[in-house]
Amino acid sequence: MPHRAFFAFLMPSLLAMVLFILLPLFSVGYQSLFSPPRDIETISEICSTNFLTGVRSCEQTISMEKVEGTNVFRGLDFFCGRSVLACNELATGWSENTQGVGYFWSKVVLNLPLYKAMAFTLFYTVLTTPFILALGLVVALVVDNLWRPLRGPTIFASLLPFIVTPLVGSLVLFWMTDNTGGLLYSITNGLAFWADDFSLRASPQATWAVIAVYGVWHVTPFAFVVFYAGLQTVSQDQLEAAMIDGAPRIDRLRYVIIPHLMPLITFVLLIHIMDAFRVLEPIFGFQAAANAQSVSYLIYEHLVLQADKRYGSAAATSVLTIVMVFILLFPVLVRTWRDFRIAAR
Amino acid sequence: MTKRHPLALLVLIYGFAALWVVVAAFPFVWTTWGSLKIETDFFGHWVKNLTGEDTLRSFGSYFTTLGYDSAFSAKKQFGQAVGNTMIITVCTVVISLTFGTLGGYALARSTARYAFVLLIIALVFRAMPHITLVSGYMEPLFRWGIWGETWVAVIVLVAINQPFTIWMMRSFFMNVPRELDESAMIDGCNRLQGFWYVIMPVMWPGVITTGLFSFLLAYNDFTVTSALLSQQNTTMIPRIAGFLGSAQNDGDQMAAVAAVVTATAPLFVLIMVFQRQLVSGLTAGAVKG
Repeated sequence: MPHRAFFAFLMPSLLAMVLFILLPLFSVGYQSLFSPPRDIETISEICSTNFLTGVRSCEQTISMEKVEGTNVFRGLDFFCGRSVLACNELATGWSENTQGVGYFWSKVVLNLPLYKAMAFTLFYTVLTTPFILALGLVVALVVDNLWRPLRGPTIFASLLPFIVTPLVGSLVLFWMTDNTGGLLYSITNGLAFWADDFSLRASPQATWAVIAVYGVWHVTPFAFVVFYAGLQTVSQDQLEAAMIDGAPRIDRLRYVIIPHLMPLITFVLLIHIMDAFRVLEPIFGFQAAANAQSVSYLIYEHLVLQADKRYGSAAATSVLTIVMVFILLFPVLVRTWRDFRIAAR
Repeated sequence: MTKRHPLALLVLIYGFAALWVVVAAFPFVWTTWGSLKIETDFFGHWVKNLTGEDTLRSFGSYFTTLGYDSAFSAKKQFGQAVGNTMIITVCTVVISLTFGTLGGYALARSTARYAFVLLIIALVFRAMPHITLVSGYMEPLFRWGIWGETWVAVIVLVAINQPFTIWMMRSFFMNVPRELDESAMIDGCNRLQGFWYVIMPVMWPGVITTGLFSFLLAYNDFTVTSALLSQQNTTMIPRIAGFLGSAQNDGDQMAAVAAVVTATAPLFVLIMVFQRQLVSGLTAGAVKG
């Protein structure tokens, strides 16, 4: 395609992305380094002399004065702030720490917002991923073996948790677990015979677990659909050959089907890890903000929930998040680029 | 595949399928059923949600539309949010598809190096969580005094979903053979005519599938709409989140339940009508890498 035609066709899309993704990205980068000049505290003294004792006493009043002017370069102030990387808190915590690394880790590091959110993201990813992959595969195998007319309705039901907005999905589950008479509450209490009264919102651990369960419920359909499509392209010849060689079902699954699905498993894994950074609505849905905060929630809190918007902290957290996502994505970018080069040849 | 399984395995397969269907769909059935009850039934013991004993005592009927009445009342104005959502999703889908179809076609037909570079950059944009861009929008929008406007949210939603749209459209255009373009040009079409009269007629399934996903991205959005729209322009999902905050205060949780059911209903219809396209769209990205 000639260059002119290419850019003519791509122009609207390119313009939208440059103006509303690239420029805001620069704006985010700028906001993480610069801030409007800080309001200045002006201290004025009112002094008076007591006419009886003759003692002169002064009273200080502090008032804030808005400063107009150009933005101030703040260096790494925002990145080092308490709600972001918390450099000072870490340094003092480390120098005052006498009880070993474990204590420092659990009492200092994990009490700082960003590190707590990172720990939550890691926990969420590590805990949900195996379940999503395994369940997705099992559901795909099961649906593939169902009587054909039953497959459509099963896929319909399966798509629901994935298609529905995360806020709605988490609320629907939350309302079933929250109240003491709720159906899921009753079931989990029936199963949790080891505890007298097991509340899903009682502790941070329980909240994290509930959100992880929601994550599995929400993402498994996606894994299922992808794997199910993959199953349709498994080589029948290979399967037949394996059957003639007398391979039992489990071996056919292990040596033929799963290797065939491997690229799809990587794909689902990658999407899921990147989506872990996006977890936001379930925190509202499960009213979990007190116990669990995700990276996205921290940014949202700075920008929307705070009365005075903390652009600097939000921007610094955003920059760090983008860098992390980019690092995770890097192997894929390299592979995609290589595929392009091969295809172009 | 030859599917002759022993009975035990069959029982296991059908048992698991039944269990999975219940796990996936039952919460929605439960909430829809409960939205027609009063609060002490839905949020009371689960047996009461089934029998609706308090609803019967208060209204003389097993069902009541109290929650819906409250959600759509002049005070809560969920109807307004429904209207806003319709405007914003329709505009976003139409503009996204127009831009995305043109862009996807260009990217599918170019073999130049810069086309690949652009695609890779779009992939990076697509991977960034949307919330990371929000501070980049908010500060300038407040400065220019256009924060909260509907059209601003539409433009932002279009742009933020462009990377996804052009990737998906490109993968559909890749399936249309290049020879079709060439034959159209030999027959005397210019590129735009060839695109419109020859390529587009075979592309409608791809457009519909991509359109479904841009619909879902706009309809389900919480991040952009809740951060960039004023209270009166806001869409359903942020409004529901707002109900949650106020639910404890006025003891009116059923409005939130009714709103949730209302917001889910169109998606229900969507999956029922377009199930095949949704499945093909979900796998289009995956199977083609």
